[in-house]
Amino acid sequence: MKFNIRNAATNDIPFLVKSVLEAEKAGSEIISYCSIFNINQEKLSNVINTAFSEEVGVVVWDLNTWIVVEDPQGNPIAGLASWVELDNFSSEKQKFQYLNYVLRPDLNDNHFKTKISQLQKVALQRNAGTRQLDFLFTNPDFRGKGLMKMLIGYAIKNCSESCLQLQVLSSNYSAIKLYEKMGFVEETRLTCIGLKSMGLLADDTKICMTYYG
Amino acid sequence: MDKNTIISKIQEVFDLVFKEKSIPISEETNAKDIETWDSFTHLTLIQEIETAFSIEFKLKELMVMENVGNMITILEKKLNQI
Repeated sequence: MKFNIRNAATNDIPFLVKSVLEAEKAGSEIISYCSIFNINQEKLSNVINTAFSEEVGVVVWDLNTWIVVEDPQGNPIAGLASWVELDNFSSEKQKFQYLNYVLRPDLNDNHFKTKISQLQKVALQRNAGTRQLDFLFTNPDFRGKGLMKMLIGYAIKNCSESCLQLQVLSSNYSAIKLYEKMGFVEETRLTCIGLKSMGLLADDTKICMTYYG
Repeated sequence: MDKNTIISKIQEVFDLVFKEKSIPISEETNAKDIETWDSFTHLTLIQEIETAFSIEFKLKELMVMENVGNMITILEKKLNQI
């Protein structure tokens, strides 16, 4: 079977939204955004779908940021977001600004504040000017065919920045193994005990991995 | 409202949000200059600025608000429309 890599298109948006959700879950049922903003998956899907379709200016949820692998019928079956981190307006801040605007949480609510402050303990720095990869996802029906290897290889080949970085939960062994195989090395890790048990993240430890060209 | 008044009002908001970590702001001031200017503090900062100036930012304004200079430009535009 022949698989192609191409830039994401409008028809791919439902797949991209699914990729964001599944990558965030990393095999669990926990999605940080749902826990923080107290919303269900359906609501989050709609909000992310809007970000893609209305081009609201969130770099990680912008069609131009995404590349996908398509099956012979043209359907997306694997994807990832790839962008250059900005100097003074981090992608994380953009994302939160958008979610805050749409979902209007009470910023003075102590539960909201606690959840945010706990998650910030594992907020790994995305270095400005570096290429970032995120939301790496392969449709389970097509796993084991080297599609993610294809996508990461493509991102590496087309990277003109000094390095590529990605973040992964320490419990996601298969992903870590693949990234190491592709040449990524562990840069830093941050742990906050209790994130998993509080339902805020699928694991207590997040790792930043870097590929130096 | 003139630019200097806008800047001094923004400074008051920064002092309120960042407390002892606050610094004298300029048009170039951005998140790199204040260690505690993280994602959550950014949300609080925007909310306090909206309250201080009795305005509401549009999404497209928020998505380009990466430094104090942009805040001033957007505020000047909005306040002159009122």
